[in-house]
Amino acid sequence: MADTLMPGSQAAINADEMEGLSDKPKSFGRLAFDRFVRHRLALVGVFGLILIAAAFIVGPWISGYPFDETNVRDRMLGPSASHWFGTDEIGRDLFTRTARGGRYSLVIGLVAATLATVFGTLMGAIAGYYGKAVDAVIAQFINLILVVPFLLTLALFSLRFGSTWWRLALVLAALLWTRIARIVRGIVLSLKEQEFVMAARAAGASHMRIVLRHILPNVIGAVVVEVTLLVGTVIVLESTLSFLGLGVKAPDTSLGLLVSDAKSKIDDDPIRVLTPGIMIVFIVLCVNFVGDGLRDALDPKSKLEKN
Amino acid sequence: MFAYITRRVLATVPLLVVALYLVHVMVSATTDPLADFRLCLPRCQDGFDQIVENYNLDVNLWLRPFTWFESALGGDLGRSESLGLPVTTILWDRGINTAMIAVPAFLVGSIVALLLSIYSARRPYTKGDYALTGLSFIGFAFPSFVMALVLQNLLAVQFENWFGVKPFNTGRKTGENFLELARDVFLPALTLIIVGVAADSRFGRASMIETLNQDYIRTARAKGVPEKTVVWKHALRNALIPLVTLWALNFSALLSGAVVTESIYSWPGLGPAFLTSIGEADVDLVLGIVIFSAVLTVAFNLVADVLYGILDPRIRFD
Repeated sequence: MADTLMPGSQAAINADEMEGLSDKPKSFGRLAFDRFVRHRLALVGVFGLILIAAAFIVGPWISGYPFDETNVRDRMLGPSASHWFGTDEIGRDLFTRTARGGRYSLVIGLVAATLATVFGTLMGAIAGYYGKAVDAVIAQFINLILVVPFLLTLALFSLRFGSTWWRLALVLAALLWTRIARIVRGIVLSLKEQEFVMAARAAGASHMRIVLRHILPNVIGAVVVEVTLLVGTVIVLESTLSFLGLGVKAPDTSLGLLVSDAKSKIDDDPIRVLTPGIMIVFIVLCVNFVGDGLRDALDPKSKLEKN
Repeated sequence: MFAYITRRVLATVPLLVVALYLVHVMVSATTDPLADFRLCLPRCQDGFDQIVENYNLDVNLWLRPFTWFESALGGDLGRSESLGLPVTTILWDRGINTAMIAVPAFLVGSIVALLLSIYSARRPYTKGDYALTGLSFIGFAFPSFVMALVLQNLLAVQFENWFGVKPFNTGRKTGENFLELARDVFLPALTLIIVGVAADSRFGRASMIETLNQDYIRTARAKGVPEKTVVWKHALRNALIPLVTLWALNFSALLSGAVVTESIYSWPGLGPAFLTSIGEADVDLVLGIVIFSAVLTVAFNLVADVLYGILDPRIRFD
């Protein structure tokens, strides 16, 4: 009896293990990571961003030209071994300038998106948690920001306060926090009625502690996705502003400004418009791939198989 | 319903007033219309006084908006200093030009985006869906100025170099007949369509997939409703509800002027007028365009709300 019983139960345990039933359940973070890693496009996005950031940082050293060094003998050159992206009409190396502009785009995108997210999350959490008058005031404030065209506010700020990259990032963040605030507010509205918040309050936790320790961790998933997509929005907006002459100003440069410089020569040299233009498209594409991957990975309802 | 609409409109009035006041103060505070005159002051005292009078510069910065509100209530939106015309005339003329590209772009763009999202949603995670989703990802990553420059160079300039004919105009020519007009409209409209379709179709696909996964769709299929009816009647009507909001926003944004696209194609619409008004500190024109776009946004949001009620009779207005 004992001889026959033991192998039997052993086999049952093995079968359980094979189906993964006896495994310790994976944490949400671990599951999300697994899903993200299996999301091929998201990996392409991460890899693309690392590659392009590295090229922008290291590239200018290798090319060996300062971004503002003029050389009248080598002006309006096409792409070649010595000037990878060619030169502009006063002989500045366009690869170095593209790398410098691209670095601004990436930095402004990251800084503005991060600031907007932090501020938006806080405002959304406050509006949702306190409700009533506080909520109404914040909602009207958001409507006020949305009713004035972004371009107008951005232009006026850039006229008044100049346009160094961090000021640009600050203004963009000041305009773009509203969407995140609305999303966070919605989540917080439904969360605050749940039992664990009541339990925390019954245990004597302060409002601040409830918001920071109990509510915000539940919001992070949605916010992480939004911040990624926001990086793409910021990069497009910043390049558009610079293109219109309202963003980064000469002698410094940015991707939008490079397109704008090349615009007047587009009939002779269409490639010169394309190089910075494609850089913007490539960066935004990679950022959106990462955002899409994060959305799938952080959605508790999505399955591991589907990618 | 009528009470609901009235209440909604009335609720936006204070917001708009505060916004216009702040815009007026912001524009006045950041720009100096007298900059050129200060340098030549003793000689050009007349011009100096004229500018002071035109811009009400002798009134305190914080009180200046009120003179504007006073005349605006009487229907006079003031006079644009940069374009030398009454603001209402500019809004009307330029608004028509903008509508010439905005209306076709919106109609074609929305319909194409809807058809593509239905196509994708009916066969998710297949080759056709991946191809469309990939394309919309790429289109979505294009800033409109890059898209406009590429299309302009490719379809107008390079096309002429290769084939010796220029199929499309760049800019508004004075052509009167329909064909000439279509040649003018085509490129800017196409730019807006591509950028819009890329953004809309991803949203539409998600909305349609979600609807097609609902229980009542399975019920309809189970009781033998033809697939065409399931998709085009049962699913589409419900999937349209979130799309209607997006369309309202898109259409009001397009009608307020596509700043970048219109500027690149030198289209004399509201977009370039807006850029000029900012650059030249033309307060009256700035405020006119802000009002114009705000009224459009409110109006189309209301239309969207009314359409909700038609699409889903369960939605009540209270």
